[in-house]
Amino acid sequence: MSVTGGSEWLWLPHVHWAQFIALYLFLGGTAGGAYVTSSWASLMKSLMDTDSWLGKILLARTDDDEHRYACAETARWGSVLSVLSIAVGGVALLSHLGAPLRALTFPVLFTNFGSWLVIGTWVIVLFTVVAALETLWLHFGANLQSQSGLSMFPRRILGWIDGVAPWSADRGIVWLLDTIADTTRPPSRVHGAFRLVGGALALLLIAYTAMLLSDVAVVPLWERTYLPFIFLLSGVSTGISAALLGTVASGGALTRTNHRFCLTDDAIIVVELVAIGLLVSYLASSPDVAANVTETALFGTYGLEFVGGVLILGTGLPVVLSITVTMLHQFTDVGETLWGERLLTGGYALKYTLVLVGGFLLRYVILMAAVKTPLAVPGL
Amino acid sequence: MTDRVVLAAAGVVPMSEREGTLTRRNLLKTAGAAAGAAALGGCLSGDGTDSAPSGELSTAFGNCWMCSHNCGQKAYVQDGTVVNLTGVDGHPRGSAGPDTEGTLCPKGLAQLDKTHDPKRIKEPHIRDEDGTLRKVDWETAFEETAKRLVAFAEENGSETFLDATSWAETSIFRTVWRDLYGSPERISRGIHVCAGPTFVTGGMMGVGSNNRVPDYQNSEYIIAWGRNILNSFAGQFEAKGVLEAIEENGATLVTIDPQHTITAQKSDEWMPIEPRTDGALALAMANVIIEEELYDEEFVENHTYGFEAYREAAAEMPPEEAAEITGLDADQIRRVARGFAEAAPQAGISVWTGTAQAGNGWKATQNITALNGLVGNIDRPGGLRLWKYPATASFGQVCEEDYTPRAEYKEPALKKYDEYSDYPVRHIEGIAHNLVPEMVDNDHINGIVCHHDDPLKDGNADAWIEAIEAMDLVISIDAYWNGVSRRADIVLPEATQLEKDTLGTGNWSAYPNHKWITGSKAAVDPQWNTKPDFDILTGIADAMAERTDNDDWTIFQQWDSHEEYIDDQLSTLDLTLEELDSGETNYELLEEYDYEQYGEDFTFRFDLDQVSSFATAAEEAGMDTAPEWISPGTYGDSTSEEYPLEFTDVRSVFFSHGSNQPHERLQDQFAKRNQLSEEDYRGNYLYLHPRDAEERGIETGDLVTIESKSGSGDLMAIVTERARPGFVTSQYGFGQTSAITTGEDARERSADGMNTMTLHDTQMDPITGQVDRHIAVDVTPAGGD
Amino acid sequence: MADRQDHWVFYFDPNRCIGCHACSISCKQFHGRDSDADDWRTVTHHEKGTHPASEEYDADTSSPIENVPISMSCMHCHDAPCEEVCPTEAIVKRDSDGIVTIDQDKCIGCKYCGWACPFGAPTYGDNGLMSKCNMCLDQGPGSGAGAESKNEQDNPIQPNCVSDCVGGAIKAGPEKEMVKEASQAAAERFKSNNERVIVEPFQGEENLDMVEHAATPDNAGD
Ligand SMILES: Nc1nc2c(c(=O)[nH]1)N[C@H]1C(S)=C(S)[C@@H](COP(=O)(O)OP(=O)(O)OC[C@H]3O[C@@H](n4cnc5c(=O)[nH]c(N)nc54)[C@H](O)[C@@H]3O)O[C@H]1N2
Ligand SMILES: Nc1nc2c(c(=O)[nH]1)N[C@H]1C(S)=C(S)[C@@H](COP(=O)(O)OP(=O)(O)OC[C@H]3O[C@@H](n4cnc5c(=O)[nH]c(N)nc54)[C@H](O)[C@@H]3O)O[C@H]1N2
Ligand code: SF4
Ligand code: SF4
Ligand code: SF4
Ligand code: SF4
Ligand code: SF4
Ligand SMILES: [Mo]
Repeated sequence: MSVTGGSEWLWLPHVHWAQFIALYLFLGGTAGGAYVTSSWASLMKSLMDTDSWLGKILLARTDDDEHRYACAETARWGSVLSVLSIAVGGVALLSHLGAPLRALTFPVLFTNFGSWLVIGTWVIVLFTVVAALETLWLHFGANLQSQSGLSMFPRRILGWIDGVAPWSADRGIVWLLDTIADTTRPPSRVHGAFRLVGGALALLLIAYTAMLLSDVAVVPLWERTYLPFIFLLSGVSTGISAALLGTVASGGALTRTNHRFCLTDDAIIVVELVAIGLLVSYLASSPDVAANVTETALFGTYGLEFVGGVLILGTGLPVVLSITVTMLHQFTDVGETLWGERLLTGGYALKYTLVLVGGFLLRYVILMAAVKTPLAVPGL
Repeated sequence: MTDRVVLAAAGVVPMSEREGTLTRRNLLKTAGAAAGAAALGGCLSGDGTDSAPSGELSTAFGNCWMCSHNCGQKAYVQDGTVVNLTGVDGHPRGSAGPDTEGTLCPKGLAQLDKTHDPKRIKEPHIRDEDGTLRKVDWETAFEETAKRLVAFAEENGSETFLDATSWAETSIFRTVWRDLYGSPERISRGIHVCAGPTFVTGGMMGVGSNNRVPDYQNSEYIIAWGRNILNSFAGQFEAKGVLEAIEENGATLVTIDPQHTITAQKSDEWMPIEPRTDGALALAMANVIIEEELYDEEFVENHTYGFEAYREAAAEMPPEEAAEITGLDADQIRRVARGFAEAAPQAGISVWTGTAQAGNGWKATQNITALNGLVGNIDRPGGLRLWKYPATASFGQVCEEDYTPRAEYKEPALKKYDEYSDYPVRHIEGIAHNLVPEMVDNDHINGIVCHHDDPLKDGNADAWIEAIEAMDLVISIDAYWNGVSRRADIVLPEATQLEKDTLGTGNWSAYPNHKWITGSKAAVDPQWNTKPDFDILTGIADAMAERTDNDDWTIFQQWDSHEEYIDDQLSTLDLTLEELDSGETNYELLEEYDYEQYGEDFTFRFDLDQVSSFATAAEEAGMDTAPEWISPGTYGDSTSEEYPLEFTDVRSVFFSHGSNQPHERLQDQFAKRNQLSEEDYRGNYLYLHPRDAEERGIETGDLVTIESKSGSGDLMAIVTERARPGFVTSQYGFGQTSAITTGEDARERSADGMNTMTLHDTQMDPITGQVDRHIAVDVTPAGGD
Repeated sequence: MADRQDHWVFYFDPNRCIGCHACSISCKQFHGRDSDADDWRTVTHHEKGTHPASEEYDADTSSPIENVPISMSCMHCHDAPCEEVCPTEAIVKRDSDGIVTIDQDKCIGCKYCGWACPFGAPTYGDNGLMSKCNMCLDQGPGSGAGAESKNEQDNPIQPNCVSDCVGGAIKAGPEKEMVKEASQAAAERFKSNNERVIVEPFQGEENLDMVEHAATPDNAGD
């Protein structure tokens, strides 16, 4: 056992939560973040729709059609991506378990409510229901039939299925979902309150992924003071990025919606970087050898992923990219030309993609570089 | 980085476990069920831990014979399968004495797997005309054995047949081979390959081979001299005794060993001596003890011979000079000499193989054993104990029929023929391990019977392999396919210890004041088509009786079973095996005997000039009869530019010589102990110091080639500060020639690791012929890992 | 509720451990586990220092080479962090005897307990379910859950690793008995250290005097 800092320690064998769990933690965060983004976009859209004073303060103009379109797209992208993320994340989580099918009996089996795994499971379940309803309401309903926008892809896919399936297209899946959506759709105030609850659940979902880890007292990297904060920021950031990547794909790159979300994202990333910095300095100054070894792992063994992936590609570069693109957009006329529009669109798309990659690598590194506090070997 | 970080990077998640078993692999039977359960394991149904064997659980006793030192075993048996093994409390060999827990060491535990090990030899085999080994039934095997033994005697003479029977669990081997078949040639572990100088000097000096195991429990100062007692114990009581002495008596433990061992780790003083310089250290200690008048004048005066010569030799070795030679610190030499002498008589030395397996080993052990006489610890509490055996009946006493001992007047070839007149050993011993190949060449040996013995790992390996192949008749009585059984003409598969009745006794134990005996009846039936050694030998005898019409061969027919024979042996003690084997324990403490029973006339010899055979041998070898310093290389290898490193082989707590290497559990834990379990490699390791490794570009886990002037082999390196610079070691008993991991169907498939004795030629102690295992070598990367 | 004093704990004396791995092997055999399965009781070896004959060694400043073995298993922690995180309560710290058991029928194999455990005790086999030392309440992975209290069994199975510990370094029993076996220093440390396991202080050179409590006869046993 060769360990930097001496081998007078008994380094404990580890049970690895590797790629699958990293993916799950990432997707969980992204799902929460995307939902929050969706809700926020819906709020803005409804402010525009009602032409309220709040809308005027927040949006300056409420009559921007492109903005309205982008808001609607963002809300839809956010909701559908939150559902997809949580679904894929859930599969990743289950596939890691020793007895995945058994875990599906959680309502009966999960009895330890002091365990973050149980709290998390219920948060996931409730969140999934809320996010699924939101997605239903945003994508289906009689008056959405003529909506365009890439975010409507679920409708299109289902519509295509209705077309090739043996049943009548008029009474197909889309029709069914439209009907359900219309009969269940709450009045807008209630819907607003519902989104508020959903938003809270979404934040809880993001935070829980960190609470799960930081409940383990013997891993200094999973320090409770910093980790939940970092994950919360990263979750919201990746959620915004996922949703807005959709909006950009729908052609909303140069809208004020994207502009504002992008800058919000940048601000979050900067705070996140500060939080990561605090965690690293905590590790460096900790008397725990595991903390020191972790730091070495972060910059050594996982240097490529952490420094290259998380710090540079996943956070630093996106902010720089985003500011550059925004500057070009706001203060030059690059956006006026077709070529320029493409360039800016590509710039935004790249930024969001990088944030997503960074978000995944952050979870990956946080798992892989986790070193348990060793036991002191008597006599050495 | 930590292991786990590295592991994680590689995406390795250690996972391997079989579920569905309540007990061990008897459940090979239920493997199907377990696999079914495994398939469901991921589902709702649990992992199906419901396939327990149905039979009653019963207990039986055993005498562990994995390293042949008789620790008591308690076996738990279910459906004819041994399902668990533990020790017997208070057992003379397996515990620390009265009211202490009896345990089993890793080797002893492996008897559980050994009993049911599918890699064992399962059927008798005979090599037919065209050279293939064929399975036969026992009747054919016995008939064929008798036929070939008779033919051999006619063609070559039975005096050219070598008896190489080793760890016997019955005492009739000698009767069969020496007395009845008439072979005067016997090679055995003791003097020939284990520690000739230790035993023979001990005998000549007057203490027998009791210099090996002092009275640990009562000791206040214990020197492990070239011994790794906490790793290579001859019965666990040794390790336990040392630990008890430290804890109960506050005893000081001193280890004299070039490499760092677990015994060195637990010691108050570790003397990391330059190999083969122990003779100088022992004389320097005598120098201090004599100079400072710390010796037992009364004992020296009344009970020793040759003190003057000893005093003179010691005077020539002041600690400063010894420090030069040994690389030790003169102050430490003084401190240990004083400590030992002051604690005496409650001070003991344990000396066995570490100082004996060298060309100058004779003088080393003579000088070391002399220290006991000097401080007068002989047969005093805590000192050198003159251990005694209980008086079981000998074969002669129990055999009611007459027979003619046929080897009685036959002289062993070594003594008889001129070809060997250059070897001083012929005055002391009837044979020397390293000379057997030469004797085969000279047609003085033409056949061999090997039982629980693997001479191919002991020394002069390549020549021995050729010799075995050249012999006219090779009989192997073994449990495993090893270098001999794979080449044998007749292979007789032996049942292992828990499958037969055993009787054990010995001298040293946790009871310094008691003779003792231990016994056990078979816990389970012989597995497959195997037989206990007693039945194999009597089977051969019966077949010989039939073929030769010589009635002498019928003498075993007076016993219907081994148990009956054992009961006869026990009759002098008024005991039966049944009595030993029943009750809470399987041992009996017998007659008590006190310390200092040696009587007025007892003489401890410092100078051996009165032992004429030795005096003659010593003269031929060019050495003195009194203690003296003889430097390394005088009789063996010296390092050179070509071979700059000194090699010697060592033991591991997981293996008994070359006899249990096939056990997966031991292999795996051995690899874990060496922190290389993630490698596929399961052979022996070569330990070398970082300096030596760096010079050669070698790192832990690299496969390296070790080479001497006579041979080479590949094994895996471990770079460690535990190794002495310039000195490399490895465990012996591995490689192609040993009992290997592959079963009967793949007999010639190679095993990991190497037979260390391919490095060896004929280096030996000239007096006893003890194999000298200090060999000049070099190590190079083998270009793989 | 049983008295805390009746809770079973392990006692380990590093001074007596000779690193022989009998305990690991014994555990595996008793529980019918194959050689290549993870050990419930592990022995690790820890090295530090320099060989005194090496050129780098300086008697005044260097420490001579040491290689210390440590034997470990589940410690049946008083506070059982594994139990706290387990979602399904598959892990139970039993009131009656303090033994921490695992019911594999409830385990989902999430490996959360593996992270939470400060001793690295939980292992996950081919079936992905947790298994670990059960103080030999019963034989086999996952066995012992729901078994009668060790304190009430007529003839409780003595932990097999203890039965086979060559050095006499490990002991197991109710806390009140184990504390009696321990030196005062060990008992104090146990109290101040979450009461997880009793470990004797290592006696280095400094505190030596801390003693607190069939062959032919000639060559038999060569
Ligand atoms: N596990 C296990 N135990 C065994 C056996 C076994 O095979 N395996 N075999 C049994 C038998 S038959 C025997 S004879 C005994 C042997 O028992 P020991 O004699 O204790 O055997 P080793 O463990 O080989 O220890 C010999 C030590 O001598 C050291 N040494 C080598 N050269 C020199 C030297 O020149 N000077 C000094 N001072 N030391 C040196 C080696 O480094 C090694 O540590 O063990 C018995 N116990
Ligand atoms: N290189 C080297 N060689 C040495 C030593 C050394 O230090 N270095 N030490 C020497 C010492 S001290 C001694 S005492 C000798 C001992 O050496 P040996 O007397 O040769 O004994 P083992 O090597 O224990 O066993 C030899 C064979 O016994 C077989 N065997 C295993 N179990 C059974 C069984 O139950 N029944 C039967 N019939 N056979 C079985 C295996 O096939 C194994 O190959 O070795 C010596 N050889
Ligand atoms: S020391 Fe170990 S292998 Fe040898 S007899 Fe005792 S238990 Fe068996
Ligand atoms: S040692 Fe680990 S597995 Fe055992 S009780 Fe403590 S936390 Fe749980
Ligand atoms: S792996 Fe099993 S025992 Fe461990 S926490 Fe998960 S469900 Fe509980
Ligand atoms: S108490 Fe039993 S289960 Fe626990 S480590 Fe010891 S042998 Fe294994
Ligand atoms: S059996 Fe005992 S002495 Fe041997 S390694 Fe295990 S704890 Fe240590
Ligand atoms: Mo030996």
